[in-house]
Parts: sequence; C-alpha cells; structure tokens
Amino acid sequence: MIRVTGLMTDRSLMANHDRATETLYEAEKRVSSGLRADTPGDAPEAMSEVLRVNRSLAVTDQIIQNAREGATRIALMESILTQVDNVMIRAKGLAIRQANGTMDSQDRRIAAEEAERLLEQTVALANTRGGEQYLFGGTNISVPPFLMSDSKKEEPYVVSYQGNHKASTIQQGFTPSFRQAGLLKTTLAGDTLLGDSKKNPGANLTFPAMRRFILALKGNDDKGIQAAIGELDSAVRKVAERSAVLGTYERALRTTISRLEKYRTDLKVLRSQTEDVDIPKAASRMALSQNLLEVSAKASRNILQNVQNVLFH
Amino acid sequence: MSGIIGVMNVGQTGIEANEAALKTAGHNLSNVNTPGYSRERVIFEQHVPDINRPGMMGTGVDAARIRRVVNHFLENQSTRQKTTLGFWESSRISLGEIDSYYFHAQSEGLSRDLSRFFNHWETVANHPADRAARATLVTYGHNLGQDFHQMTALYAESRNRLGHQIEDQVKKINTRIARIAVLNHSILAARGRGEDPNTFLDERARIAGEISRLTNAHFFHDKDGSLNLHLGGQSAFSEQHVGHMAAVFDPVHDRYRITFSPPSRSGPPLDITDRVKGGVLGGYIDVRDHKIKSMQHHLDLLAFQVANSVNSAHAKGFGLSGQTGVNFFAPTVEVARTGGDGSGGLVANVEDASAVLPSVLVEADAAGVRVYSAKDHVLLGSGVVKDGVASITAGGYALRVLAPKKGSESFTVSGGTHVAGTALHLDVTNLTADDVAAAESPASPGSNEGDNANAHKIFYLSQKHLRFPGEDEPASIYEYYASGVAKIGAWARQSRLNDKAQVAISQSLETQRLSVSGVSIANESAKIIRFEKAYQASANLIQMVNRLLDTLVRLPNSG
Repeated sequence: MIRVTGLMTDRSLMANHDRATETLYEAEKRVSSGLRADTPGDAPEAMSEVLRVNRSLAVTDQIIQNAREGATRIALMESILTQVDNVMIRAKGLAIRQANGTMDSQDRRIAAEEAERLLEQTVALANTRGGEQYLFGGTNISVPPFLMSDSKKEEPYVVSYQGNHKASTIQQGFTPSFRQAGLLKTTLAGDTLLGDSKKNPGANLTFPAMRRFILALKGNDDKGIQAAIGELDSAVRKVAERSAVLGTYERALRTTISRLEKYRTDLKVLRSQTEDVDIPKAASRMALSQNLLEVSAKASRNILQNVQNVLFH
Repeated sequence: MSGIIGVMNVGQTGIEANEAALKTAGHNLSNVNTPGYSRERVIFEQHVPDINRPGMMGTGVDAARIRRVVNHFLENQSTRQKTTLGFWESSRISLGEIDSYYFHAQSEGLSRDLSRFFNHWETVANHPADRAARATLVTYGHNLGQDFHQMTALYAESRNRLGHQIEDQVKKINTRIARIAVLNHSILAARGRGEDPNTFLDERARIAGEISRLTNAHFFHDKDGSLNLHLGGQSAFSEQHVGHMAAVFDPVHDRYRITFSPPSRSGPPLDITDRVKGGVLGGYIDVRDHKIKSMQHHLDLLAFQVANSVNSAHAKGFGLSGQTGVNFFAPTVEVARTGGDGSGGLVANVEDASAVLPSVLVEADAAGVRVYSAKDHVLLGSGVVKDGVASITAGGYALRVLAPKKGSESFTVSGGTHVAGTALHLDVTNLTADDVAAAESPASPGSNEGDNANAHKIFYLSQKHLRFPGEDEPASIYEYYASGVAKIGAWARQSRLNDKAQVAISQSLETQRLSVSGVSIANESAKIIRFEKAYQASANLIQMVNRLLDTLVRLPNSG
C-alpha cells in the first residue's frame, strides 16, 4: 500500500494541472496561428519541407511572372506585325492600282505621297516600345531600331537598322537554357524581318521594297511599279509568317503559364498539408483540453477539500 | 529504583518519552511543506529492568533515538537523475531561445530575403535597362547582408549570455561543494557526540541534489558517514581543504574551459571540460560551444556560398557601361598584387568550396593567364585573353582577369578556405545600379543594354547544387539553409521532449521519495493523539502514586 503524504498529493495535483494547462496552451496556439509549427522546434521536418516548398513556389511564381511578361511582349510584337502586315497590304493594293496603264505621272506622284505615309507608319510601328524597351532592335533596347533618312540631307526613303543581332530573353522554365526550353527570345533583330534599305537596298523585305516602290511611283516607272507588287507581296508574306510564329509562341507561353499555375496550386496544397493545422481536429482537441483542465482543476479542489474535511472537521 | 517511588519514575519516563514523540510529530507537521525534509520518528526502547523479587520488573521507557525515515536507494536515484534533468532543462531553455530566432522561418527572415534577392535578378532580366529595378536589387542585397549580420549578432548574444550562465553555475557549484564539506564535519561531530544529525543530513542530501543538477558529479558515502564528491574524476574536498572549479574563456578556440584545482594538489588547475557532460553546466557548455558554434559555422558557410557563387557569376558579366570583373558582394578571398604596373586587375572568388586551395599564384599578360599552386608552384591551369579579359577556374577559384596593357602582372590569391566571420561581413560592394552585371557580353549606353543572360544565370544559382565543405551531397543554397533550420529544430525538439521525459521521471522518483520520507498530516495527527493519551496515562500513574504516598504518610496517625 502506498503511503500518501500531503506534499506528494500537492505536487502530483500541481504536475497534472501543469500538464493539462500546457496541453491547452499548445492546442490554443495551433488554433490561433493556424500553423502546425511556429518555430522549427515545433515540427523540424515540416518546417524544413515547407521551406523547400516555399522556395519552389517563389521560383514558380517568378517564372509565371516572367512568362506573363514574355507573353505580353510577344503579343505586342505579334500585334505590331499584324498592323505592319495591314499597312503592307494597303501598299500592295496601292501598287496594284498604280500599275494600271491609265494612271498618269500626276496620279502616281499623289500615290507616292500616300506610300510615303505608309512607310512612316511602318517605321513608327517597328519602333514601338514594350514598356521601357524597343522590341525590334535585338538587345539594343534603348535606341529606336529603325531610323528613316532625312530626305533634305540624305538619300530619301532609306530606313536603316540601328539594332544588333542578339536577343533579350525571358526565363519561362526552371533552367536558363534554350536547349531545355528554359529561355524564350522576347526581342527580334528587326532587319532580318523588315530589312535595312541602307545596307541591303535590293532585299525583298518591307523597308527596301517600300523604298523601291515609292521611287518607282515618283519616277512614273511602270516596270518598277509592276515589280513592287510581287516584292511587297513577298514582304507581306514574311511579316505574316513571323506574326504567325509569334502567335504560336504566345499560345505556348499561355499553356506554360496555365501548367505552372496548376503546379503552383499543387505546391500550395502540399504546403498547406505540411504547414497548416487541421482546424476541426485542432478545435476539437482544444475543446477536449479545456474540459480536461476544468476536470483536473475541479478534481484537485475536491481532493484538497476532502483531505481538509477529514483532518479538521 | 524499586518500590512505590520506582513506579513514579516509570510514569516520569513515559511522560518524557511521549513528550519527545509529541515534539517530533509537531516538528514533522510544521515541516510538511519544507522541500527536502525527511520525516522523523522517535525510537522507543524499554529501560533496563530491575532484577528483584518476584523477578525482572520493567522500569519504564526511553526515547532512545530520533530516526530520519529515508530510503537510500531512492535518495541516490533521485540525486543521480538530477544530472540528466539539469542537462535537458538548460538545453531546452537555451535551444528554445535559438529556436525562437527562427519564428515563422518558413516564410520570413533569411528565407524570405534569400528568395527575394535571387528572384529579383529575374526582374532585372525582364527589365535590364530599368535602373530602378537594378537599384532595388542592390537594396535587396543589402537586406540579405543585414539578415546575416542579425543572425550572427543573435548567435553572439546568446553565446555571450550562456557564457555568463556558465560562470554563474560554476560559482554555485563551488559554494555548494564548500557547504557539503562543512556539513560533513558537522555530521561527524554530531555523531561523535552520539546525536542524530538529521537536519544536517537532510541539508546535505538536498545540496548533493543541487550539485547533481548543476553538473555530473560522483558521490560516494564513506564508512564514517561523510559524503565524498568527485568532479571530473577529482575528489572535490579533503578533510582540510576544498577544491575549486573555474570557468575560463579560451579566446583562441572561442570556447569555455572548465578547470578544477583539487584540494590536495599544487600546480596548475586541471582541464576537465571534456568530462563535464551533464547537469545545467554541461547543457550550457554543449549549447554554447558546440551547437550554436555549429549553427554559426553553418550560417558562415551559407553566406560564403552566396557571396562566392554570386560574385563568380557577377564578375564574368557586364554592367550597363561595360564594366566587368566587379564583385556584387564584398569578397571573402584576398587578392594581392605582387608584380606589374597596375594596368591590369584580378577578381577572385571561390568556385568549389570543397576543393579550394589555401592560396594560388596568378600571372597574366596580354596573351594569357597562368595559375600556379602557391605551395609547390605546380601549374594548375591557364587561359587565353580575349577582348582584354580572361575567365579561368583553377585551384577551386574562379578568376576574372583584366589583362595588363603591357608587360605582365602577378597576384597572390588567398583565403579561399577562410569561412569564419563571412556572415558578419557579407554586404554589397560599393555598387551603382549601372554596375549590376546583367549582361553576358559587353554593353554600353545604347548598345546591348538588353543582354540579360548573366542575370538569368545568377537567378539560377539559387537552384543550382553547390558543394558545401563537410557535406556529403551537393545542395542548393536554399536546401542548405533548410537543413540548418531542420538541425536547430531537431535539437530544440529533442531537448523539449527529453526535458519533459526527465521531468516526469524526476516527479515519479520524488513521489516515491515523498511516499517514504514525506510528512502525512493524517499520520502525524493520529500519532499526536496516541502520544497525548500515553502522556496523560503516564501523568495519571504519577498522580496515582502521589495518592498512595499520601495514604502511606497518613498511616502512623490513623491508629
């Protein structure tokens, strides 16, 4: 038979009461923070796992952000090229009309004025900025990629390219590598698409073709105008093709974004499973702890009261 | 004494013995709440009987001794248990403090700022000519440096505080050793006088428990009843002298040494640090000089890898005005020019921390670069200069060489293995927004400002697996940080659980001890009633003898 002493009873009751209070405190902390762990000591493996998941999430968020920026920029390029395409179709229409033998030199001089405006419009479109940077100058993003000659000082209608043949990129994957589809070009070397009428005046690209067309109109050159129809058609096709390719890139980026968003959701679910408290469980545990503490306090009071009654009454 | 007077004497012995018993029971009751108190019990013994006719006749009772009721096995167990309890208690408190520095570490503090810093390289990549984005990146670099400084300061503060704790515990141990020595003398003296030194025994047991909680001491009971105590394998006191423990800070190894001067030994104190494994003192030493030190090293290595990996990539890139060979963070490696006219330059960082040499020699001219081992002058690698610069990796270093315009230049590169203190000194160099090397090829105003390839590479560093010295497997910067957080978490958790378990064991032992040695109010109250009755009965006996004597005195006059 165990011999029960006063101090023993007191200490035992206090220890049980402390344990019940601690359990309640832990349960309350979990419910109020909503997290399984406030410090690493609460759940070391969970904390370390959440750290890794959080980093993956941060990287994924950044790549989604990159892909969105890329998609916006490529959509803008595509839209610009579509507009250039429209302008070129108008130029081609003008060429077809002016190729008619009934047109005299007066008509063609007026048409040349119109073609000049179309050329200026195309240069302005090619010099459009996406945010703070030009899109058709390679990595020379802070200077307009195309410069039209001053007809008073230089040869007229010459559009020269000021960019380079490199490209800015966005990282749309987890590695900075083209081979692993991690990088995507978001600027173009504009001269390869629209031409440089100074360096390569005979090319069948937009700017050289437009220059030859304007000069043919001004010179009332039937042959030149006839040739311009085919040259402008070829330039239009190039622009349209490139625009279509950009369209596929943009769609691919949108797919990447939705795939990454799905991945991000999965990561968040994983993080939540590791990090968050199961609230119904935690709340019921808290209620249970509250009851236990009440019972413990009541039992302690009764035990001490009984001892007192037996001894002193 | 025989006859009627003898009967009176029997009553008197009963009164005296029961008075002693009443006093003892009262003493027990008054100490019902005294920690470490062991209840006492009076041992009654019969007086030597008178040998007379009709035979042996009892002569009363003696309160022969007052015994202290203890179970020595439980008492020893309880004392020994306190060493483990003290160790885990101090570990829990000090590791809990370190653990709290990582409050919500999964999304705040260093983890957030590491993430923000590396991710912002992509913002710069997406907007390479945006000076605001570049300036923000520099600010994030500063913030990251401050996080490292803050963590280092917190560790240093904790270690400083624990150092004071270690010194305090040693003082407490010395005070208690001296007290036990005094109590041993008092106990032996009391026993020599035939007394039961119960109060001294209780106090000695209590102090032995306190010493045991403070450190891992070994206790031995001598045959004469004195308690011997060994610390670090040395006797703590002799008959005449008391040994002295000291906590001495060793600045060379940045740790505390516990020394002990045994009582009967001249010469320098003995270093017993490695034998202090338990108790509060052992816990504080373990946390201060092993665990926090290890965490600080972990933090230094993390800062070391962040600085060197970012710098290596950054130095290869180009800023908006064409600058190259510029470090982003203050380098951890030292470069000293040993020859040449100063027209060239060299930036060195650690490329492979697990295989880096203490120092290498670099020679550069307009054509190429050669790297030699400083120890034995063996050629480690060479590179070709292109557009006035060369990048070469040799001896574990990533070298970016700006070739001299004429002649040759030589440099000594050292400090690749110096990791300590990196976290405290990590900061961004004196960079402008234009100096941020986002480009992979030369840039200048209006030219190639959109080159963002190097910024992508630096962003990727946060995911790239790097070799950390002392680690078996390569890990990314983030994984390495997470492993440190997991380590401190595991320690804090272990100390919490072990402390909880030890508290439960101690409580159980204390309950058992109290079951034997504790005071039960009910028992003592019952005893008081019993002794009161015996006292009253003895008094009645004397009263009865008094009446008989009256009768006898009146006899001669009654005839």
